[in-house]
Amino acid sequence: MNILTNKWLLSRRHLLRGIGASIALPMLDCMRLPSHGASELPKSTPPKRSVFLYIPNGVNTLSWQIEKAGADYELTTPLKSLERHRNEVTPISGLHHPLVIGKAHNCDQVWLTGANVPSNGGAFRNTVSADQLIAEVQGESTRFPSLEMAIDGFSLAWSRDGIQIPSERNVKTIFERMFGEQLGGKNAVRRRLNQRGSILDAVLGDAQSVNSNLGTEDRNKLDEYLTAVRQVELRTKKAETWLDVPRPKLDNSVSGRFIRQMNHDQVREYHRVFYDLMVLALRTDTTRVITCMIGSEANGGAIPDIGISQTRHGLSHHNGDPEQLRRLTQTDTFHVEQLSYFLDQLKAHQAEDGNLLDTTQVLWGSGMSYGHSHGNANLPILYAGGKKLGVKHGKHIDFNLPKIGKYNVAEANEHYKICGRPVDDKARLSNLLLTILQRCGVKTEKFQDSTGVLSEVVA
Amino acid sequence: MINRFIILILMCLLPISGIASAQSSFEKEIQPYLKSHCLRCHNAEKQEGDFRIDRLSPEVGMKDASHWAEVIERISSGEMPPKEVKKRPTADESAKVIQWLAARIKEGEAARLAKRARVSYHRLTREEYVNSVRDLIGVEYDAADPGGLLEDPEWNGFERLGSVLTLSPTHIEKYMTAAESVLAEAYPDKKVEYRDLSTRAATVRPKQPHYERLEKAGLLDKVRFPLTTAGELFRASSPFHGSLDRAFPGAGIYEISYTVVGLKPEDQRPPRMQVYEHKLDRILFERDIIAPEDKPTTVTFRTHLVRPPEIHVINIAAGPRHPRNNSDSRIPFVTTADPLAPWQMKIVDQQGLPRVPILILDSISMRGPIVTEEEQRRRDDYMAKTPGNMDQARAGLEAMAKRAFRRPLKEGELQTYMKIVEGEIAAGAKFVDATKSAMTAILCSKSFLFMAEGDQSAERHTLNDWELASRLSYLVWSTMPDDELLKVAQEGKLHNKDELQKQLARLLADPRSQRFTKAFPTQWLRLRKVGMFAPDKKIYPNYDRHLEKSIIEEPLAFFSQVLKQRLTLREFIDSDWTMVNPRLAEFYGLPSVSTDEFQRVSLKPEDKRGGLLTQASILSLTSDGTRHRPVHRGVWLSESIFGKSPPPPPANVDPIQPNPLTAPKATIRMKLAAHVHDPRCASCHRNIDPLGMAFDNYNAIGEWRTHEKVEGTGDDPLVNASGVLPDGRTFANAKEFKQLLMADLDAFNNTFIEKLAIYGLRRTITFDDRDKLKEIAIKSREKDYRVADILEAFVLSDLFQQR
Repeated sequence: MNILTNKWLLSRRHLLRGIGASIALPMLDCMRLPSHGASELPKSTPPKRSVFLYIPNGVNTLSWQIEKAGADYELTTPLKSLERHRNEVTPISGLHHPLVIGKAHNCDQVWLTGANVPSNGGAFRNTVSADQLIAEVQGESTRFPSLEMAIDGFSLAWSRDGIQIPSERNVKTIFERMFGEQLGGKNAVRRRLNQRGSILDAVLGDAQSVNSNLGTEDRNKLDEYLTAVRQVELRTKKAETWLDVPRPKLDNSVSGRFIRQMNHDQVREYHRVFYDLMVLALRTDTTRVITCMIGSEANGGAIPDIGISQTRHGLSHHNGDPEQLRRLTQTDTFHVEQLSYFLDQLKAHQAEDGNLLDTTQVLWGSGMSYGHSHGNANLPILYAGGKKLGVKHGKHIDFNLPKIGKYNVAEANEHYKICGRPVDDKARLSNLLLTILQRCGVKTEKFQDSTGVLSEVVA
Repeated sequence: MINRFIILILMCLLPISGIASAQSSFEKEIQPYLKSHCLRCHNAEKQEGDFRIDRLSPEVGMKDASHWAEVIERISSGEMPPKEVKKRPTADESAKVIQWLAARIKEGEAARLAKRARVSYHRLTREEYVNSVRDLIGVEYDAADPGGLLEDPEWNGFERLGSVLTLSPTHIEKYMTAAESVLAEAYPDKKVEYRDLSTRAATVRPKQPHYERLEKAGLLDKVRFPLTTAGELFRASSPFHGSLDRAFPGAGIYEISYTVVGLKPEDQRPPRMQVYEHKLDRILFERDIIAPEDKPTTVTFRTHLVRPPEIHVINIAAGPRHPRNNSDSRIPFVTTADPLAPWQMKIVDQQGLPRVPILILDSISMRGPIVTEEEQRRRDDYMAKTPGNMDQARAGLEAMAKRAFRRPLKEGELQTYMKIVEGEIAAGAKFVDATKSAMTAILCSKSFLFMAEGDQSAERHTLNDWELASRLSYLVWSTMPDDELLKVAQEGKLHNKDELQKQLARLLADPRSQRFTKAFPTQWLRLRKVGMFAPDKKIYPNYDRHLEKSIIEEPLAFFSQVLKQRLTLREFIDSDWTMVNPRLAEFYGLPSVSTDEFQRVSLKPEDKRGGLLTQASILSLTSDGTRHRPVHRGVWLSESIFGKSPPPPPANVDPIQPNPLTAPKATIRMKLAAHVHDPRCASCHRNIDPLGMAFDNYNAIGEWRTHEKVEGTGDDPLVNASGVLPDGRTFANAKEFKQLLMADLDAFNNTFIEKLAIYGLRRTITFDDRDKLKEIAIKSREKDYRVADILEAFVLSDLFQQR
């Protein structure tokens, strides 16, 4: 008997048949058993990539707000570094998630889901995040369906069951998972995967024997377990399928950057290592979907490089102090500069018949706008890239101006009202997420409370 | 108040009516009352406090039970209808409505219970997982290290609720990796030798400068390593290097000792030794050191190591960098009194007394790995003695699974794991590895990772003895039941209350009960929030990591003292003592204490402390890093002491306007007055804000003050900590506020019991638990609110034996 075949699959198939229709199988598409043999990879589709970047606590909306809609808008101070990307970027004003207006403590958790959450924090069932829907389609072609990372904080990604998909904060760990050679050579790894397969098989069977005896209402926690084990089986299976595909060969000069010890106090460099890692993952087609939380609402760090010792959270509660506001603008500027750097890197790499940015949609923003009193309408949102995916850029899209006529940020309190209460109820962030989904090949006409795609950015 | 008592009396007098035709009587008995007293503010157009009554189901007891319970509570507390309303219901009218609603809810209870899942699953928390694995197989797993297990989510501070602890595929992968590494340590491929090695912190070898001089003076074995200035590191901590017989033995628990000197300058802090494994980013040990040069002291601690350690020792209390320190000099350090040494006058004065906190390392020893006899026995029990012997494999796996699952195995259950052994052997794996695969499966199975309560095949609401054993053990020890508890469960004696009482006492007497005195107050008081928003270094230069650790430790030590010394709930409200270490004594301005441990000290009124509420941790956990936040303090107090969560703010209020810097200085209190002017805000804030305002004499990190430091023009304004409670009672400051709480201890009693129940039952409390909680509250009152007795009453209650 050949020990290198995945014999455990047989019993698993048997098992899955046993489960039959008694379980609502989440992620039906990517859960389905491959009809081909283990070593056969699914046919690769043309890459449609997406990256989601979150900054906490909103921005200084007074210095952030672009005042004019259309193509001849002027980039404001914090956005200046985007000038060189003007043709690849669309700033959008007025977007919001209607279900969480005023409920600010969870805004990072629903940024990509738009779900309704209780305002006291804590336990709630989220809904699936946009990135995961894309991963179901684009992830078929890559070694990793999606990559969840965080410079600080938790994760933006939520499964179909509304369970948070944990992120990784350690660059070295991410790098080694994606590009590291596994110990002991291919056969040892295959043996190990098979061993894991049979373990998973066993615990699944054990849990399944109980599950079939329970009524539908009783199964929540156990279902969660079953789903999780089953998905690990699929990951294990996928890992085995990819075993014969060599990992991208990287120069020592490239990998050295990601495995050395890092100094968290050099924030610019620290952030850029994350962005470089994202570029590396995308250009090697290791994954096509990335979420990265740049900072959590509580701990968005200080930036000693530019003389900022307070956290973003501290600065966002500026109480109108001009000095605090100036510093908040400084950190906004800093974070946009890193985005510009990321766009530079994406443009610098050729992919397919253009550059990497042409096939990568980048969404950058926050779930909060006016942090001081937790206003979360008129979210700061920047949308970039994806020209080859049918996205067009170059304009400032503004949903407030048609109703308010003009901005007057000198009247701070009036502007803060725009940031606390939506001006246009139909200006939903879900519409943009729907647009991104469709551009990435997800066949859907709706996402959460979307009312339609954002036609202004569709070529 | 009067109103409330009348209602209570009426509720007792009126007989609970039988099952009436609820539907029609709702329209007759309840609807008119709601119409004239409630619906005006809680309807489709207007939702005061975000609460609508018009949409609540008339099928009271079956639907919207928690909302109807809320209605009862608000009316019976006299809070609703609000005092301002002119046309108020009579006490009699209100009592009738309450009584009717309560009766329906009671009737619905059984039906709702029956609808509960037949089996409840509660996943082990990360901490419980680590403890359980440790007890199961004697291996420590470093779950919090990078790549370890994920942090658990919490709900209102509680981390162990079944419904909140979710599970993702990543969890499963991490459990598998954890199991593999645990088993690799328990059953290493190569035998691991125990080693006990020592080394001097500094040595001078032949041919090195000063060797001959030191040899002549007989000082070669007196050379030591001083840490006197910021940024200095001692790197050569591991004696495991050099020849093969000095190699690091392998993964396991190690005991590490340092012999050290610590010289404390007068009026400065003592040197503080920090032992830091930099590769793991883990602080292994930290302690103030005071010991004279001629009488070094030895400190010892244990830690789990997988690889040869890379340990740095740092003196975190060291003085500012001075230009000539030991590391710049080539003169070996022997004593601070060495007149040759260029640093000498920098670190000691003319009398030879230290100018800066000086830490001197003498020698280091490490021994391990340490495996206790019991741990070794367990490992041996689970693994076949004779490789290839399937009967032994079966017996071993059975022993392991039984303990891991905390119950007898079910018919055919073992077969699942035996199949893995057989399959793996057939696939070419070695026998030991095949057994380890099966063990991995046991450690990843639902029966280990989850505590299950109930039967899949029948309705059962009472716990069986096995489930009870786990509930008790995870309550007090945060780990699986030990052999004795399992034996009592096996004998079917545990549900017997005498036995249960005996076991509780036994568990509490064991050092592992520290896990309860640490975890429960941490979760109840939400201590994980301390330091969540790091205090601004410019505003609070006194705040550092050592202080943060110390203030978190205080309420834990305080709670432990209250429990162990059989004190009452009153101590939590106010006390004439507290628990401090040297750092905290300094911070509070109390007489200094010398040993670096938490110790009980008495408080005088002028110390302005006492009880939990004026402890620095509680006062700072609601702050945002720059300011104290009275509203957040009020919400915390409302939740943690009164057990009430104020409703969230309405969604469409105008944002708070910033206070212009050019305006005269205003306290936060003055700014908050704006809330109370907006009627939509006022309805809740008048109940919340005073609770926080009472503590306005304490700043964002809990320091006492009389003036509030704010930006603006003019003098800093005086703090005003007075207020009015929702029931009309007034107070002038925190001290008086505490007295009011003390006078109404039952409210706190109820909250404390509820929090204990959430912790112990691993679920939220529902309206259906109300009566059983009340029984515990009565017992508590009978025992003068003694915390140890409350815990016992809880464990012996019906509630504790039910799902």
